Amino acid sequence: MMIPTALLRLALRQLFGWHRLGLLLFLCALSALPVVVVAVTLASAQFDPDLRQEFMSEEFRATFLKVLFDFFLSPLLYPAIALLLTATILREEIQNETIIYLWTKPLARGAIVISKYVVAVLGALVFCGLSFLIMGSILINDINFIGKLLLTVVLALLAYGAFFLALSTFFDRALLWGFAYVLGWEESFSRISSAASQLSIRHYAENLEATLLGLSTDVSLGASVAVLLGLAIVFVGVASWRFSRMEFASSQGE
Amino acid sequence: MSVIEVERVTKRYGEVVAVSDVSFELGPGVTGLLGPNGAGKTTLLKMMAGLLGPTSGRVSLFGQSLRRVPQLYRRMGYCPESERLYEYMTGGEFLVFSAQLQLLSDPENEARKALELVNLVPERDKKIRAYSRGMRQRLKVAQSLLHDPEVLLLDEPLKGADPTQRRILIDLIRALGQRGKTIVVSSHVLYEVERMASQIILIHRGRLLAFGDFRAIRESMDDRPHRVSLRVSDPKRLAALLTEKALVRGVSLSGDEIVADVSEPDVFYGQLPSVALEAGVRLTQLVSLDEDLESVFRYLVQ
Repeated sequence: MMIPTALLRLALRQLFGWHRLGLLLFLCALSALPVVVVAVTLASAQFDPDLRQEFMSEEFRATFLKVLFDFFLSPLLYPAIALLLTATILREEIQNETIIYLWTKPLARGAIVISKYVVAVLGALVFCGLSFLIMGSILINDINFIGKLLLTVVLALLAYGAFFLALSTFFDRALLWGFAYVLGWEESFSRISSAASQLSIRHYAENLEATLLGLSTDVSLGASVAVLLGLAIVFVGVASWRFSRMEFASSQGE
Repeated sequence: MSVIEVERVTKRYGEVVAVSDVSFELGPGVTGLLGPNGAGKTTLLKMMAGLLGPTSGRVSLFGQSLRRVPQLYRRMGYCPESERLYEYMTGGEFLVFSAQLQLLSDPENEARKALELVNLVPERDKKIRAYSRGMRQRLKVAQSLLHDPEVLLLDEPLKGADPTQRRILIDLIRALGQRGKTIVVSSHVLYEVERMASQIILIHRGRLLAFGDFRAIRESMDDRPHRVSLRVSDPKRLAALLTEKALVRGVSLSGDEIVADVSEPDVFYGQLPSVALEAGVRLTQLVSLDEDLESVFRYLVQ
């Protein structure tokens, strides 16, 4: 399946053009948030001798980074960034009815879906990855540790992005459904039900992170990677399948 | 082989039947798709464009289904009714982008030629969000024909265009039809369709009312009298003689004008000179009042 570069450029412009300045600024603010948190924490440590002492230790800094990653970045911030980009890129084009100009071109509909997915996930990776790299390098010098967490981010974003894209082919309010999944299913329900937790992207991302860091887990490294990549492939497939069966029935009169 | 084949096509939305058991075949030339608002024109056109699948029946382009073979879009151009466009692009960028998706070898050049065709070159670098309704229409038409397709489906292409722009578009569509393109133009403005198309598809409440040359359709409607206006030197005398010879179903007089309801136009036109001679009146004007598309439309929809 060939994906014309014009499609990729269109997706890029749709997401990051000047007309989306508001969203861009919001994403910048979101991704800068952890960096600001780290900077403020380090600055405040200068006024607290005990805290300053603790921050002198590389181990404490690594633990601080991991806690931030485990309780804020990985479960909330990064899925939210992925959601804002992947759930809107295709849905917006359907709602704006500009999708007609893609559907009436000699293109496989799967190519349209993949072009949107690639650009949106790359966008999410740039926002999340850059933010994490800056934050990580402020805190620690262990590039190996940062790299392992970054790999977790990449694979999790691939799966989240595909899932949210697939949602957007089913629901007008994909953003709402996406937030419901992240906050309702992953953040609440999965926490109280181990069976439910196995049906979440977060479960495999957490296990991947743990195995990469050499901690004990109930899912092997290979299985975590395979599940996250598999979910990405399956959900992009579902999105393509759904998109290829979509009809254009606008509200316009006859 | 027909270019477009529509075979017993029905489209339902739940309980609502938008198009019901419609069949026709189209070849080169301009065909007007006519019907009042809500008749099913846009649904039918969208099915022909592969944007909607029929609930039952079959729509094919060159014998194949557009929904299964997207490569057919190289041979087809579609101008939607929707005015939504990529607002953040300029008109020129939009056409270059469309040409790139059509995989044309020189997108810039093809975009320029399409802009020239619809007289939109001065607006090339303007953002689409600043375009007037008429400019948007012309831009949509330009994107539908920039890859020189064999088939053009145009949904209300003249909507919102001013009289000059309408003339430009009508001349363009007519010229393309004369060049052997298969063109379907949907509209509910009859006189515009009459200027472009020789053939019509008339639908009402989702059903096909008539299909073919609209003059032939009119002639085949024997149960409807043809109305003819005559200006003569002595209208009362001629009216009496026409009635006496049963050449008319009825007449009305207004000054020197007679409006006659004629059942058999061929017989009427054949005998009128001799009847006028016999009556000793001078015939100064003879106009058929309802051989236009509007009459056909009005009669059929009634």
